[in-house]
Amino acid sequence: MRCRTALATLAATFLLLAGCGTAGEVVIPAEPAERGEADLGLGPGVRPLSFGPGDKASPRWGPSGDRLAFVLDGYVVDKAPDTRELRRRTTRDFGAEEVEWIASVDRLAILGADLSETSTTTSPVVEGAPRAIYRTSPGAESLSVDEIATGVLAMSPLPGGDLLVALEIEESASTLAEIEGNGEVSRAYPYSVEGKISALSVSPDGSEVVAAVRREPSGSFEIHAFDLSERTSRRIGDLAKGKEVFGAPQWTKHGIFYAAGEARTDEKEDAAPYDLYRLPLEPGDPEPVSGVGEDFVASSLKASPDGERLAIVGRRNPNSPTELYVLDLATGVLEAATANENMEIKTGPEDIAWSADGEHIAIVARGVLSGHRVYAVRADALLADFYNVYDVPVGNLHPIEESPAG
Amino acid sequence: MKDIAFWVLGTTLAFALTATAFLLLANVLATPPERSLAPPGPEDRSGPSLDLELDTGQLVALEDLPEQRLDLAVRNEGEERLDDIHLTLEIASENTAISETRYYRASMNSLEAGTSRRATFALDLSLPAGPGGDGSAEDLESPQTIVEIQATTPGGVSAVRTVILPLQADS
Repeated sequence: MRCRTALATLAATFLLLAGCGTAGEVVIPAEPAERGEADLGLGPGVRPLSFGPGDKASPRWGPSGDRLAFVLDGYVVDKAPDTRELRRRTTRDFGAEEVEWIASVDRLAILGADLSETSTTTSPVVEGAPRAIYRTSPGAESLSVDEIATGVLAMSPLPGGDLLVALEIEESASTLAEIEGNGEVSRAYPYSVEGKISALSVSPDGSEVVAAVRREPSGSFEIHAFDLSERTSRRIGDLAKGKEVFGAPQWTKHGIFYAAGEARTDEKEDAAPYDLYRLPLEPGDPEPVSGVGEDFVASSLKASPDGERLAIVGRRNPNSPTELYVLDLATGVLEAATANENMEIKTGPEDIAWSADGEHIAIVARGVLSGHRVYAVRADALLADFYNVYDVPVGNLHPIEESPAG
Repeated sequence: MKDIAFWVLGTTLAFALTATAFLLLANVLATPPERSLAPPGPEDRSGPSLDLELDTGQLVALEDLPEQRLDLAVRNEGEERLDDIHLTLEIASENTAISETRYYRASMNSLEAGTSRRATFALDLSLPAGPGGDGSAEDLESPQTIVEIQATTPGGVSAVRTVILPLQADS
């Protein structure tokens, strides 16, 4: 018996005793994770895009589909979809919240805490607090970033490859601006919206914007539409007091869709009990989306790149599992994209992303596991024990119900 | 009488010499002309020859504190003795932003075929500080602790166990 020096700070303490009985061990086989090999708990055809430990969030497909970026424990990584190798793009203590591709320059825009010395922001976790946008460096190995905007309330990619950002202009007023790939503000809009824009999305043609606005100090929510070419804006919806818009309303070719409900989470702290509403593009009142069923509990929404479909993470009723659904907005047909057996699908508003071709949706999920688990593989090969990104193909779904949309 | 004694002695001596010659010849013919000194790779083995066994009852009792005892058994499941078995144990947080990883090492000189030997580690399972140095993970409410154990030999025989410990941070 001999002892070897520990690698790092701690020395090994061990005893080697000759002979022993078999311990009461249960080794769980690792998931078969190769592409298309098996059902990983989300239904056939779903494949993992990441492995191993870490809290993944805000997945985003690259413009050509050959890269995937996401936030990992507060820092940003990107990778090729078919490999396990991650490329870290920021330092580990970055505090990133969202990431988007700036397609025009093939770089990443990161929304996170304002790290500049002049910033008065004290914490990125304060709801509604302005943050900053950073741009990654072009070098594949570089972790340096450029700060390209401060006082940012929300961001959304534009179809042309640039960014649209909501900026705080006064203590309780917001406006919009476009940021080019070079980091310069290319267009500042003359909007001055009372309240703080909490989230926004751009229409498929890039000419219109819809935003959720929280008025202060009342905390009530409004929905505003912006015509970028005409430079006009209008309030198109008000929510009752105590209700909030979850994430960004989605501008589609068949109306504006949004999830709204009381500002709380349910007892299970699972998907918040939000309902799905549709606002017509022409002036009109919001109406519940009947295509999903009366008991549907909506969470994150994301309109497809062509504006014809809506990806929804939600539950058919409060007692059913959380699934990814795709609503065909022209026909009103709701299709289940996952068959969740025992997985916890993340329901954050940014934890869902369409691929540019509209054939795939990335979501984040982990297994519903408890207690101590023992595996015969290394941790970086494990899937369900940690939040990981999954690719859900949505090109050939089967309808679960047919009913008129909206 | 003397002739008989000489005959018996001569016969016995002749028998012993002949038998020794045959034994030497048999040993020489049984020795292969060349011997490969390269260790066999893992692919040459029909199954795992090294295994790690943990006590689940002990795993359940682990706490996020220093001086936590973890026993494991290293078992040689092959048909030959294994020499220089190196054990590496890594403790990391599920939160990958926490770069602190604790390493422990031990080794065994040899392990006979079909036998097992126990190693006992005294682990520090206290939660490492987060990226901001505040002692808590920022992005996970209760990050799990990952214990990765690997046993390897210079010949390429290895076994790995990953233990996920849902240790809770002190509030």
